[in-house]
Amino acid sequence: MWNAAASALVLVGLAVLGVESMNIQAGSAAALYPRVLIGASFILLLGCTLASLRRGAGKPANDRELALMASGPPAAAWRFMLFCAIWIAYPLAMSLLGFTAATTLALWASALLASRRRPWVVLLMLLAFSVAFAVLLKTVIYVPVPSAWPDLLIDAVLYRH
Amino acid sequence: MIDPQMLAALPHALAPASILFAVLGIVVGIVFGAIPGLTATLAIALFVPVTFAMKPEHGLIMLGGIYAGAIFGGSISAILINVPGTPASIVTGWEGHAMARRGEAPYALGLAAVSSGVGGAVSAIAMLFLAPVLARLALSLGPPEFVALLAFSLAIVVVMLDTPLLRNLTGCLIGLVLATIGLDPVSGIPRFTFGSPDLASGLDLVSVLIGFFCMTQALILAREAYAGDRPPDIRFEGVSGMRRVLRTIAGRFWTYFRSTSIGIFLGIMPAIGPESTPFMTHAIEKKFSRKPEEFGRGSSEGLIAAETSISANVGGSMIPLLSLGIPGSGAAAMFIGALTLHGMQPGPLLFVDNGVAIYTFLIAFVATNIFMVLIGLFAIRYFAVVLRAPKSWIATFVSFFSVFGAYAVNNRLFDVGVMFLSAALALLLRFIRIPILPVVLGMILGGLLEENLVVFDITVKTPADLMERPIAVGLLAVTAAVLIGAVYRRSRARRTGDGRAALNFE
Repeated sequence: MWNAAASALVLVGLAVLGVESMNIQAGSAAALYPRVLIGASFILLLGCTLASLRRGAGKPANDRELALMASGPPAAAWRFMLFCAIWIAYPLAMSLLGFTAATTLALWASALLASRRRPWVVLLMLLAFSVAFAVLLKTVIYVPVPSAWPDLLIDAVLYRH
Repeated sequence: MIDPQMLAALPHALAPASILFAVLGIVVGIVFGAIPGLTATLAIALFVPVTFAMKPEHGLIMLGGIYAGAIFGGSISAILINVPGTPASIVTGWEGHAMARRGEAPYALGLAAVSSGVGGAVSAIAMLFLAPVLARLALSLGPPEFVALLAFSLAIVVVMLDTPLLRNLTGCLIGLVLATIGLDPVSGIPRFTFGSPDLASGLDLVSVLIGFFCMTQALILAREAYAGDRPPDIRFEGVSGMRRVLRTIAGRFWTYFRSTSIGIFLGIMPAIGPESTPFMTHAIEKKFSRKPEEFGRGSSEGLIAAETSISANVGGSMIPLLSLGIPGSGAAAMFIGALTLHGMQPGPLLFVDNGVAIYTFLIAFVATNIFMVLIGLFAIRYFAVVLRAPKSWIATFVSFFSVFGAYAVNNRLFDVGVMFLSAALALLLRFIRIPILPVVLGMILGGLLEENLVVFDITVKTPADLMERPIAVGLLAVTAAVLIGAVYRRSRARRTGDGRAALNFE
């Protein structure tokens, strides 16, 4: 089932690109090249999928990690889904809360999923890590990250002279 | 004759800053390599954005140290707990863990460190002298030769991987499709941009590779952690074996020679990364050994052959990368991201445009391997503690650095989205057993292939035009022979009932 669902999703993606390729200026090599590639990959993938379905291959073979991903106790599956949600939400939170606050919260939430021992100590440690990393970004690596008041406070402390 | 740029690079390569970045890279690499689930490719992918603030040569030296260190680091967990830190260390685990069970863990780790260093240093010397020669040769190649060379590289990936032939080909094509996103390289017509200006320059390679190799691994580690995986017990016991290590390696010249040669050769071939090399050298060394019965039960020869060839493969995989722009492995592919981040174009002109910087990296890579032996011999027991790190924490920090790494390349959140979608695509492809390496290679080589195909189409109108290019014809003939041979071999195996080969033909 997982195999067929994954194949279907990739085939849909290729089909979307195939439809979009019709919007490329007709008659040029810029349109022909991707159309040939998309057509060939679509046919090959469809062939592979049909061959797998005919053999009745429901799960990926010899892949313990993926087998674990597709099965396991419900509680673990829920925690895993929360883990995914945290890290997808993190970049969005960064634009709202700024780098330091969003990083601290994302790391803390992720850590709490694994263990709830001494949450406040963990929070303080992760806050220290985020602040130290933010200082590193501003003074060594020079990566301009989204800012909110905690980041502006760090800026003020670093550059008050 | 020695290139004057090489001599000019020597003081830069041996400057304290270069040595510092090399050692830093080795330490980071060993830590990443030692932790099961974290690979050399992942370590390089995460640190590519960090090198942005450095001088190009320092960034490359650090990434080279990470590559070499991570490949060696994988042997620590393989030897101590029989869990290969990287896929390349499976054979090391067979021999090394058997030795560790006999109370010879320090001896096995010492042998692994020296063998890894020897393989790496010799391959680095080969890289230093072969890559510029190959690059000079490549300067005389025109678009027809490049089309043939790229077709050959993609064909090698399709036939060499141990996954079904058609799935490898599908992976290659999907990679080539991904490479068409953005402005057409010849006419500048936008393709698959869906009206987004962020997509005009195509998918950012570093973000895609971080998604493919780092974020997917973080998700897998998180899933394992929540399913209840616990850190293992580590026992680092047994007599110190420094003198014994030196005595053993002194009598194994031919083992080193064979393993290094095979490792470098396989490294040069696209798709044959450090993962598959040790199986081949281990099998060959068993045939030459006076004690073949010891192989798989703690043989020092088996361990030396595996470790030497893995590190030799690292240098080998960099030769086509630097001279032709064709990576020999997934980890080497990450260097393309690093080079382009620093405004360098891997390929024949790299040594012309950035000769001193590249020679600095190559000379420092020789030194890096020597430092790795010293670190491996004297500090290895301190690195073993990283094996106790909980998987949930590793997953958390790999996720954080994946998001940050994807963002830092162009300072835009759009690339983080690209990274997440790439991770999702990598997982989907894994579910349908399409390997990721052909996708990566297709994506990297796609732009170059299309540019050269357009010129090929203009310059080669008839078969007679093609016949005037003997190198192109020869490469195309070899490519056809490789493909036909692979199809014939697999279909014959299917007829004779070889289940494994039948599965791989599909």
